[in-house]
Amino acid sequence: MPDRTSSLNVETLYCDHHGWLQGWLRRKLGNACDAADLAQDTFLRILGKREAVALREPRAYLTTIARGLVVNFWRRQEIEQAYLETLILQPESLSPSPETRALLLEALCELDALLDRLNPKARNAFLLAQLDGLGYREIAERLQVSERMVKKYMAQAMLHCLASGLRTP
Amino acid sequence: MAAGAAAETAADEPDYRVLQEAAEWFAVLRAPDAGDGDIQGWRNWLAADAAHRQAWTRVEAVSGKFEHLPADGKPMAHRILDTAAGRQASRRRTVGMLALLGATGMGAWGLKRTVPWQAWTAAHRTGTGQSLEMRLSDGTRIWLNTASAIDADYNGTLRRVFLRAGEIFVETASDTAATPRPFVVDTAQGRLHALGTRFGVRQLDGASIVAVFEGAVEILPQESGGAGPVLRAGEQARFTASGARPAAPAEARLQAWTRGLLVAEDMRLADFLSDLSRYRPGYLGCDPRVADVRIVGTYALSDTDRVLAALEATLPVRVRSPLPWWTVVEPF
Repeated sequence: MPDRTSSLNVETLYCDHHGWLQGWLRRKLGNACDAADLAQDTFLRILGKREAVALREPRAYLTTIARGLVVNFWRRQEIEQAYLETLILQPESLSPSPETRALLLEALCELDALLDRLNPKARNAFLLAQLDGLGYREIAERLQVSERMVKKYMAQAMLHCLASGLRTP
Repeated sequence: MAAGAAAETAADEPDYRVLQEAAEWFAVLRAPDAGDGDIQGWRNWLAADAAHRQAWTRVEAVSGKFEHLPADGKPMAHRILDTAAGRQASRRRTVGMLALLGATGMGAWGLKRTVPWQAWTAAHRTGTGQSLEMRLSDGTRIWLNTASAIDADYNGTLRRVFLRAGEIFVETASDTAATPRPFVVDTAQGRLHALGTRFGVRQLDGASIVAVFEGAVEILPQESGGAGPVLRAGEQARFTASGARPAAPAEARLQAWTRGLLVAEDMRLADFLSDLSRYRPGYLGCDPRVADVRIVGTYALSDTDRVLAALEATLPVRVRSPLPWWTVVEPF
């Protein structure tokens, strides 16, 4: 009954469409396990929304949320892959604890999303300052630009992050 | 406070122009040569308009994301982000090409998975100053406090929540499965077995605290060998992997945060500020000369600046912010 208007009842939504959504995700991801996880996450996301939503097309609603989760899922995998590769290069004594790793990975995903599509030079300047702790002069030397330019990059990068909530995902 | 996460995305979005100004101030203050004049200029800008202050909280939130990276992970964070960004760019190019060729079948995307991602990442988390209330499939309610992370794993025999960081409050529901499954919360130091309850758990550095407000909870420290003390309603205890301390009366503040309140019952100012600092980005310090001042009261967590202003108004202290993200409470 995809076209009936009803106020959001998650239980009904779950019973009627969970199987279908999982199938849809499996086709997208090519993997039943991840599909089950993301289907679950989709419903959790809906549970997290307090306001009741009138649903004319529940499946369109579900796929909108699920599509966002799939994109995040891919990005997360890319971060995770990069992370594991970097970890292998670390001496054992420097590799962080599992707790730290989980938090770091989560934080990196967040930063990655914030910085998405930022101009590479501004991005590099911003990360050199925020992660490597370099001053404007050192950054200017590395990037072969003026300090004034570095300041511009910093503002540009910060603005990009500030506005990230305003962009469509 | 409870709606912190929602409030961030909803409602009145700041003007782009104001965000631009905020970003410029950030670049000015972040410069090594930022002087008193710059800081004064920034303060004037802040004072001029509530929209400026609102935009600035966003700047703090963004810069907090960097500050709160685990210190031992920072050196490699830059490299990881660059590698991942390179991959994303090449994925976009490939996806574009596939679309051009009219190809389908994205499911066969060739990323190999080496580690189950849930083992690495927490499914539910909150940022500094946020909180979240969620309901699990069996009706159990969980509140996440500021800067907290959990994973929930329900299988055929166990309902398990892993507290990765921060603090949660749990209100368990009776299991919906035919054979009721036990409900447990795991921390880095051990397992808490809920016996029909409302209880709070906080992960500290090297220890956990549990406070029971209804029912009972069995503490099973990692090295306890499967048996441990049972806490009753109104009791709280701290435990490490090797054992639990004797039970003490449960502190109201371990529950009050779920209602957005910070409760001090004859607390040392230093302890109060260290608790308060969990809810705001940046550094919040306490001058040793006022560390032992006692405070009693209930404060709203939604606006930590107002809490600081209230301290200034009622105690012999003053609040100073020498740098944008650095606040100190000193003798008056």
